[in-house]
Amino acid sequence: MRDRAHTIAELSRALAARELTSEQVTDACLHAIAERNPSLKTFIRVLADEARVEARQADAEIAAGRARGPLHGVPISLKDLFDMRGLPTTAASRVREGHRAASDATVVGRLRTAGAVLIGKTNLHEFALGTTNEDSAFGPARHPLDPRRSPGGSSGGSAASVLAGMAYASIGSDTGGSIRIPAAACGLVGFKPTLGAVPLDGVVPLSATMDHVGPICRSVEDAQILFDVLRGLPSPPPAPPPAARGRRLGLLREYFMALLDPEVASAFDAACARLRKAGVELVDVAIPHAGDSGAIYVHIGLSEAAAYHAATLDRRPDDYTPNVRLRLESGRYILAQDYVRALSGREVLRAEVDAALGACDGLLLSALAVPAPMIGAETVRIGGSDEPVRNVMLRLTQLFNITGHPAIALPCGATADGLPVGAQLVGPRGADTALLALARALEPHISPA
Amino acid sequence: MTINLWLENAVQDADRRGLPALRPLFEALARASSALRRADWNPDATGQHDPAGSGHSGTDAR
Repeated sequence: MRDRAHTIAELSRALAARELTSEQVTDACLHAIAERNPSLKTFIRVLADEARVEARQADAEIAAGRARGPLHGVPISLKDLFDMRGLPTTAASRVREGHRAASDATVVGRLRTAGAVLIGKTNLHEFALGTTNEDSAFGPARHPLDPRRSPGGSSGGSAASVLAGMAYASIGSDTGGSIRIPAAACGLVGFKPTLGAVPLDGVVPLSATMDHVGPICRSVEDAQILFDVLRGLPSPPPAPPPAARGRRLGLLREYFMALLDPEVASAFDAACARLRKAGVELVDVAIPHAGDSGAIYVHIGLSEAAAYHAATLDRRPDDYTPNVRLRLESGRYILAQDYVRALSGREVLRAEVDAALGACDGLLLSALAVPAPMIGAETVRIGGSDEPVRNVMLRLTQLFNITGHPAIALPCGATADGLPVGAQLVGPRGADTALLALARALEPHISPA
Repeated sequence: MTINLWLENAVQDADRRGLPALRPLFEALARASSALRRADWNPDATGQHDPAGSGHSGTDAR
């Protein structure tokens, strides 16, 4: 039955036409959860009873002519980093035992107002501090296509829930790539809006100046629907995708292509060829200090995370998973002068990304340098050398958390083993809707059928 | 404080706290801090090699 509605946009039309009911699709999602969640560890909390009540209410309202919009009656999952009133927000950590949220996060309230069916809270890398989902008090979330592998992270349970048909979309957070990395690893669309475009209150922080909230879903059109709800604006009427021909993209080379798995590089090259064939102009652009992004990211991110966790690290150090505790502890040793240097570096990078965007409609690069890694792997082999998994996974996304530019990951092919590969588009700050329109125009050419 | 001195102090303190496993993280952080300090955007208090010129750069660190 769910094959008839692959995306939110399709499901919304089917619900409006009474071809499907929200109760039917919610039950289908709950069935998928019951079947696979025990092995994939996708959800930390399933809200089955609540979701069924919300679905029946949505069906009644739609039948009575009171449809609220394209999310009405659509099953959505949430990373367990978002407050839902009366429920614990675990952040996948024992540190949060006993927590109960006093109110909904602003974005949760907006999803409720839009009529979404909130089906459950998904697994994540503890406190969102990691790219693989391995360090979780609830065990590692696993990739639906190959459970020996990570679905990416930190919003790994979110991406897995969408890929496995447990939800039509998920809401995640992205501090260094935590929406785009799992979206790329799972063959989905993941959108990180401009810094500040979506409110963060009621979301457990990681880095005060790099946290973003956004959707993981199956299409760019769905990303636009979800973004409109998250930022609290009404959705415009559905429109056909704009034309790709005549668009001009800045292609990022050097640092951005220096460390790519060969199959990722091959899929990305093929996507570039399809774009050229569709009449898209690709011009080389440079971010001269991109090679400094890792150093800048780690100084800002770990300093800010350590500040948030310092008191708890002193009181309950053993309640963190060992790796996350060590990462947070390391941040407590960063010198103020180096944090300030990193802030200066942020301004340099921001200006360079702005300049690169000045000559084109958007920037194009890979989203994730490697396919979904094996769980437990500390390094991956690329170009004859062993590289740390975490550094490689952050390499292509963290820059845009530092600078705050909007960025969207979308599938661009697969490896010989069928593991998804993702591309990434980046737009000017504040031009989220323009970036989504660009991505919608290019989606048929970037993402092979 | 030089990076080498910072690393030495950090490792000693972590050992004292029973966290010797921090050493590889400190070594990675030391490499990152070195890269930051070498970066060509850093100001120079002598004013002779300051890329932004003397005084405030007017940048916004938010």
